[in-house]
Amino acid sequence: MLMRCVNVSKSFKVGRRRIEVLKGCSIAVDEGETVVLFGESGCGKTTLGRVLLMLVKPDAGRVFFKDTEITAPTREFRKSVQLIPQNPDEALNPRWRIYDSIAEPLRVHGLAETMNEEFDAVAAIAEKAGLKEEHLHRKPSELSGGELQRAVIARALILEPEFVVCDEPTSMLDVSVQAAIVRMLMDIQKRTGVSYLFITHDLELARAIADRMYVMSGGRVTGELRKEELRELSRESLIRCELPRVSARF
Amino acid sequence: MLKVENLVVRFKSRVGVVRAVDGVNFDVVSGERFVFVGESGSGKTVLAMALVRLLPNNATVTGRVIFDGVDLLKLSEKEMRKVRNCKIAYIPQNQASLNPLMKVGYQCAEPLVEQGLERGRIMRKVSELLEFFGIGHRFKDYPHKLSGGMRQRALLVMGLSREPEMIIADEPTKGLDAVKREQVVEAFQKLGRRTLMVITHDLPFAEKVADRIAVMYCGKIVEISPAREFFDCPLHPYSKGLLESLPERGMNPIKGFQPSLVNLPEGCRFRERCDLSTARCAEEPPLLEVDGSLVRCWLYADEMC
Repeated sequence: MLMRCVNVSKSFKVGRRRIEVLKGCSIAVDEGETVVLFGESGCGKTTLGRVLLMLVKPDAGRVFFKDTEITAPTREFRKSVQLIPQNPDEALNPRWRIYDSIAEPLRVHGLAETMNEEFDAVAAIAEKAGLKEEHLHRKPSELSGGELQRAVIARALILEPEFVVCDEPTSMLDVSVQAAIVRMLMDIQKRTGVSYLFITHDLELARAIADRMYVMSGGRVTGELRKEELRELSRESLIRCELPRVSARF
Repeated sequence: MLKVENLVVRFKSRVGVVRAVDGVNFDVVSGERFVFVGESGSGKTVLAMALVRLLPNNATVTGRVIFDGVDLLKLSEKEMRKVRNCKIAYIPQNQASLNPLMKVGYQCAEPLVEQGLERGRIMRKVSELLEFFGIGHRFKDYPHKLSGGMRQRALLVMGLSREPEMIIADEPTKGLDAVKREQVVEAFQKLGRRTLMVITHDLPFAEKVADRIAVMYCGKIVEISPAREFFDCPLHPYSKGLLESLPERGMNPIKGFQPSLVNLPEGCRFRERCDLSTARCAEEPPLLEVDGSLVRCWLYADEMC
């Protein structure tokens, strides 16, 4: 198992109340796998994704990356896992050129020694992500939603991570752009063997890309479906989340 | 009922004139559900807002918008207000268009207060409508307490409260998940045979609601077809591309990028992304009639003659 969490709980304090967002969730993602995390909005998908990346510290439960428990994120861990956030408009610094946003992870980790090296790395990843060189010199406000999402993806993948949480990367985009972006993510997976945890509430999309799917509801993981099971499921039962309860593998 | 002739909307911007809507013709028959689909930036929203004249001042609108025999573009602002009040309800795209400081029920009652009905009747009517769409218990809640789907239905109640002859809804399913989208679909199906114009990029939603589909690309209508024919066998290459990019239909993207509206290619606007383009596509194709559908593509020109 590349990434695994066991019995993770998390609650947030809102005003005087405490809201339990995750109530003992366990999921696992293998190398080179695309796992979909499916559920209604507000069921805790995003929080679970963030817990795996240690962007949110869980109250209880354990997170394992390559069989070592992660309690505090190390530099090495930060380098191997990445997040593609939901809203590309807010993910990039509006005052930076796209080039700088994509190059920032390299600078943070001190991976490019010369300017030329940095430029080559940025140009290579931008090309993979389907951006042209002219895009790199623009600011985020001068790009369309699809182009911005490509820039965000380039930024997430420049460090060649092993595990990426894609938090509804296409929910703000048109279907035709969604198709292009998802195809691109799959191509990159084929080439690099990266694993995705793909968070979405779009059933048809989940069915098209998932190797495996977890269903979440009300802060709990309520089901796990394999690709074949997912294909057989009717659209209606998926919409109503009436799923055969599949016992988790832990 | 609604007839739009050669509608052109231009915006002046720093980089040049943006032709957001460029010569659009269509008509909506009474009782019909007419759905516009297309990618973002194709001019759908601008078109809808132009119909009810809600565009900002830097937009120039030309053409004719004939609603019940009256050209809406020629009305004075006062007369237009009356039309928006009780004839055409425009339901905006953004669910944030509800007033955050006003309880939902009272907010939905506002159009009726404007009408001058007595208080008791107003409250009864609003409660009934909210109940009808399954959010009766939310009468005294502020908008932030409602989910996206509920807010969309509240907007629908507000639009319906004056019993308009026509409803224009802009992206009613934007940003909603599958369950909430289903609720909005149900709400729309409850509307009965009211004249409806919906703008959306959500194709499965369009399939459920539409009688007729119009496809917009770069400010022009490229195809108008009855809904079933459109989903079974679309005519325009762009419509095909759009449908094939759906996850359940193979998820094959259309190649290339949508051109900028400032700097449009000559001739057919889809030609650079089209697999079937020929030399003739450098010329602007006319809107051709094929088996009860209209399509703007040279592919169908030969069948005509």
